[in-house]
Amino acid sequence: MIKRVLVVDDSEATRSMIVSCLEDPDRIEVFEAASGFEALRLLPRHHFDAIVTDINMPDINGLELIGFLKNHPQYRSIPILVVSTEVAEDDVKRALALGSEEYVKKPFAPEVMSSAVERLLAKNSG
Amino acid sequence: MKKPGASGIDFAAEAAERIEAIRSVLEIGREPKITEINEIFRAAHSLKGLAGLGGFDRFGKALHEAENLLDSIRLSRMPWSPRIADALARFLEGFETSLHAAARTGNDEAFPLEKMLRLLDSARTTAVEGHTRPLSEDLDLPPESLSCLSEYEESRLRANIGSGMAIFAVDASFDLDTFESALKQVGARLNETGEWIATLPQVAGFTADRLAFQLLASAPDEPSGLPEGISARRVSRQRAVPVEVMESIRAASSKTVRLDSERLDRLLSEVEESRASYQKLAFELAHVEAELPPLRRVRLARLRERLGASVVRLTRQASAARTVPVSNLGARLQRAAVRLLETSGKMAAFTIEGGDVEIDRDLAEDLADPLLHLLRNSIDHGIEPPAQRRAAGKPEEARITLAARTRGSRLSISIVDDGRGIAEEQVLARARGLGWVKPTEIPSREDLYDFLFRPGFTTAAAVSQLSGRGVGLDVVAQRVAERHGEVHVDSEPGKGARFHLVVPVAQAVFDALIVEEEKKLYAFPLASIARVEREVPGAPPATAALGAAMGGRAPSSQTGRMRLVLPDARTISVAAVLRQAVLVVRPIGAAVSTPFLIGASEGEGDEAILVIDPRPLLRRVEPGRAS
Repeated sequence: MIKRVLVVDDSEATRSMIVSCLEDPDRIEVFEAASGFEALRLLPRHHFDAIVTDINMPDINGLELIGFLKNHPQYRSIPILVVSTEVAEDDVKRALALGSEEYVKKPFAPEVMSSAVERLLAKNSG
Repeated sequence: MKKPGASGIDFAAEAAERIEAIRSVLEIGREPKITEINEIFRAAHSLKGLAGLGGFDRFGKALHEAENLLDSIRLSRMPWSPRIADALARFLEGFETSLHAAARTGNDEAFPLEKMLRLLDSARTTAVEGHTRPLSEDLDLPPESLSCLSEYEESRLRANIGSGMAIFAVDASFDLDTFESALKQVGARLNETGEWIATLPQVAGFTADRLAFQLLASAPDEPSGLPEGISARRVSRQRAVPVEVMESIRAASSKTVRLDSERLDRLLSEVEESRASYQKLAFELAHVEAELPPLRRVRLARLRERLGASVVRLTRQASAARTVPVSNLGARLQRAAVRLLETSGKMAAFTIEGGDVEIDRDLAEDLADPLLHLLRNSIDHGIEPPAQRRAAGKPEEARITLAARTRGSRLSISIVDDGRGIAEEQVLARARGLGWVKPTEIPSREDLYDFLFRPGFTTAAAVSQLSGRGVGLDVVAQRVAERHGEVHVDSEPGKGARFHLVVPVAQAVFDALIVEEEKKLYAFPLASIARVEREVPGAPPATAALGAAMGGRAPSSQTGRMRLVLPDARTISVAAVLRQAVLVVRPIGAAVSTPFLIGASEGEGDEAILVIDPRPLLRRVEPGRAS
């Protein structure tokens, strides 16, 4: 079965980098959201198996998105991977405290990203 | 090292866009707003991300530091300063240069990383004290809301609470298709009176076609004008500062523009240089003009006039750029007053007189601490508790006034209160205890008050928590003396006290009348002279001859001399009245030792023109007469 992954990041460059790490058309379908708002809009329309999100974004930030997801009965079980820099160390701690499953530091090597997402997907199906 | 484009991204083009974004904020010439700091922080953040993706390690490391620096500012860990703007601008320049090289060579090895790191490091200033109190103590919000806040949002909430703003939670639900614009409309409304800080999507109220949010925003008062069905609930527990105080603070701060003071000084000295050169040029031209053919002479005169008028305007405006209104200083004191009154349990209204008086920015900085100390002193020792005031037949609410005015190039600022006045007996007892007064001696009130400003007068015991830190009035006197000024106190027991600072302003621009006496040039402020007359032989002599008043000889004859008539009809005799001019006057020496000497201005030649205040000059020659 094809897994759906939502990638939320306001930087197109980072987003495309993440997407390129996940390219495997037979197994993974990637959705992109350029903001937390876009992510919220996509949520009711698709079932996602994993979400990869940045923290520092305009509109609503990653923490607010994660807080919402982890408090929502329907989305609570979607595993979340946080992508951020070590500058935002404090915010990363908060994201993990809110229930995010994984953290990948920017800049990242493609294989680090793809294996982290694989772990998320394995978690969700298990 | 990867080639640019290996990641499919045109690094140089992407970076250029963000560099421009940062630069446009750095060049606005004032302290950036928090939204602008955020913008450049985000730009630096994505630049770093780009560098990482492109494999540019050296860029990445430097951008990491730049991002750190901006992060500290947006989290209020460090204040913004012109030095930071300057360092960032220089950093961008270096980065941009190497960027072009990197685009060609595919590596960033030419980038002077160590130099750039040092540059950024040098811009760091003292950290602002961190807050440790959990937000839950100040905000009535459920833990699941508080736990979603980023460090940045927390710091903004704290900063707003700290400055006396209230925090409101605004609940709003929107249609899924249009929520973005509807939400931003609400946010824009909130930003009009306060700051829209956080947007929390709500689990309850999230359906297939609707989205609910809780917005957190600061505001002095409950936000009004929100769309129908959207309400705001106050969630901050702390009592907010009254609205009118906030308004005066905002009004004052919105008028402030921060510029790199060194850059401004360079500009001002350039203006000053052009003005001086213009005057010399005009002086030289006057000599040769007569020899020119009529048409050329007229053209030249017209040009000279235009240039002269423009130089005068430029000088005035440039001088104004160096100044701030006293109300800026007043707003700072007002904020302090609100805080101090809150902890003291006393009541007082703080008013500002002469808030529009413009003073030099550095002078304002230097006076802030002494004035703050005097204000503390007044609230702590001067103002009585409400019950005591009522018993003394005074209104419970005391009055504290900051009054400012300028005379010539002297600024006078007072802090006046209607409290209990100076406790003279206690001052005397303390002075006796210190051996400054013999047991039998009764010093004059003036001498007694002077003791207040002597080092060693203040004791730890005499200093309450409010006045704090054991800084005595001697420090106030010393700080004022460093600006060549003096501080005095008047007091009437039971009625109140008036602390009065007199300092020379750093420089003043005014219209002056230039006169000659004993072959030297002097200037009088035009406003101080009512009219000019020719000396008539046999008429009663002038109140004073300028030369004699300045310590020279009295003129041998009145023939051909002129006299300046003051508004009070007293007169000063001078050898000649030359012309009017706009002068930039700088103080010389102490303000008080030579009260008649306002300062000096550069003349057409190389000689300085002394600028004289006529009233103290006449006081000098007729000491018996009251001014």
